[in-house]
Amino acid sequence: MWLTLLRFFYGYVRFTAEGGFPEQFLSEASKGGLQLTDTSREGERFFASCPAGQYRLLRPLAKRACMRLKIVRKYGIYFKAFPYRKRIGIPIGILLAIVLLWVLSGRIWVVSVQSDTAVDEAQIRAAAAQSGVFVGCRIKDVNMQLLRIEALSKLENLVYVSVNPSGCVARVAVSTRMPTPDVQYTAKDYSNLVATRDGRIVKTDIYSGKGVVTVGDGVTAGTVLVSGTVDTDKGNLLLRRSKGRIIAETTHTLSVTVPLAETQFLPCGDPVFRPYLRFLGYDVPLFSHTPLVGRYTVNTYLRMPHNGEFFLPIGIVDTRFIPLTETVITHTVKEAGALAVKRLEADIAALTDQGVTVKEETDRKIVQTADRYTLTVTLLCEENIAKEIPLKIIGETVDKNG
Amino acid sequence: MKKSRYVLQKRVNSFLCPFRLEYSARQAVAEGCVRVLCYDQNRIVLQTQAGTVGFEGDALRICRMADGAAVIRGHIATVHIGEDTVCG
Repeated sequence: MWLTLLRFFYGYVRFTAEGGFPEQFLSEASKGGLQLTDTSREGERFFASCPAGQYRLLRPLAKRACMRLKIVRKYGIYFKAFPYRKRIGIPIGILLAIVLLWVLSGRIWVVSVQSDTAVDEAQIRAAAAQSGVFVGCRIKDVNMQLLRIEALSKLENLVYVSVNPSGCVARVAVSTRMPTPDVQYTAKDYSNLVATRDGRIVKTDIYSGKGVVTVGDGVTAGTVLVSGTVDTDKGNLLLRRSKGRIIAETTHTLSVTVPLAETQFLPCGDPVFRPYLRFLGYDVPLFSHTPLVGRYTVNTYLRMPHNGEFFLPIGIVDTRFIPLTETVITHTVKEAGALAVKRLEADIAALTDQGVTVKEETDRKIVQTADRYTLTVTLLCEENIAKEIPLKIIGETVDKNG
Repeated sequence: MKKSRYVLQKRVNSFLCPFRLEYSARQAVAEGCVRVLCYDQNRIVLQTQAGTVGFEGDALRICRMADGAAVIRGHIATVHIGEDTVCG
């Protein structure tokens, strides 16, 4: 096998010689130090193999032996690559691949964070980068002990950090500290619950403190709902932190105004491409630095080879600047009405995200002028209106412990 | 075919007669060859520094010949060592 590989590397020629005196040819070749292998004779034809570089030296020997040489087969890497000799990109690519492999084999290509924690992955990456673990760093330069000490000091939530190099991937494994239990009550936190909006109480859930209002009461914003001062049977006054949920029926008025002629920045014209070559965390601009004038929206696309899990550290970052121009849009009344309804639905969705339950729409008013369309809606809602306000203690006449 | 192996070594005086021959039914190695006198499928005769050596058989071929050493492969039936061959 090794001999075959060696022959493939150097290049071999299988040839045939006809007529003449093969014995003389063979003898003179042997005397001249030429290596003929796998010789055979079939009738008048004589077959042999020799290194490609020695074939030219066989010609005078064959002439003296009155034989005629003819190549049967060329074998070797030289003959395989010969048809591509004019394609300069292939050797350049091979050379570049060898150089890249040589340069990159000792460096980190990917930093992978293995975490089951709530700590932000970006924070872990930043702490690791400050300690010397980043894309492009040399693997042997990573000081594991220093990384552990520095990362743990920077991220207080972590209790364990380890970097496990696996080929060119640095796997940063972290574990979080068990959270301290939440202390429900501290002697210094005394508070009331007050109403944030006007409304009618429909439900009270009081966990701590003394309820001041009952179901059915109407309250205004600022009314104390749950008091942190509790009277004891002995006539003493205790201070508590008020906790609870006071659900009230409230009204929200949402108003949306759509101008019949409004100005918007809309995409217009051809986008400007500004690609970067990203290599080991460095961005090399592939464009001329001409300043952009005007207003643009920017879209960025990563075009980097990946296997579904890891991205290679080389690729193109395609940045597109789409020019925006100030455009006057004129709506008809019907279009403005539809747009107002759409924006109103978005506002109601935002209200729902804040924990407000919309029960029904009680009123809808449309005001239309020459230049604008206004839609006003009154909603009947249910929400928690309690807000904790700390108590201000003036003097020390109150018995805090009962 | 019977695969019996015969080994013949003849070395008398390496200064005067550096000829050495090892052969079996499949392969023969002859060192000290000067030239090839006859090359055929059935017969190969080598001129050595000690004399002539002939091989007879079927599908004979010189597998390698360099630096005075010849490797002959095939079905070697008989080996003839010439009368004038200097042997010890």
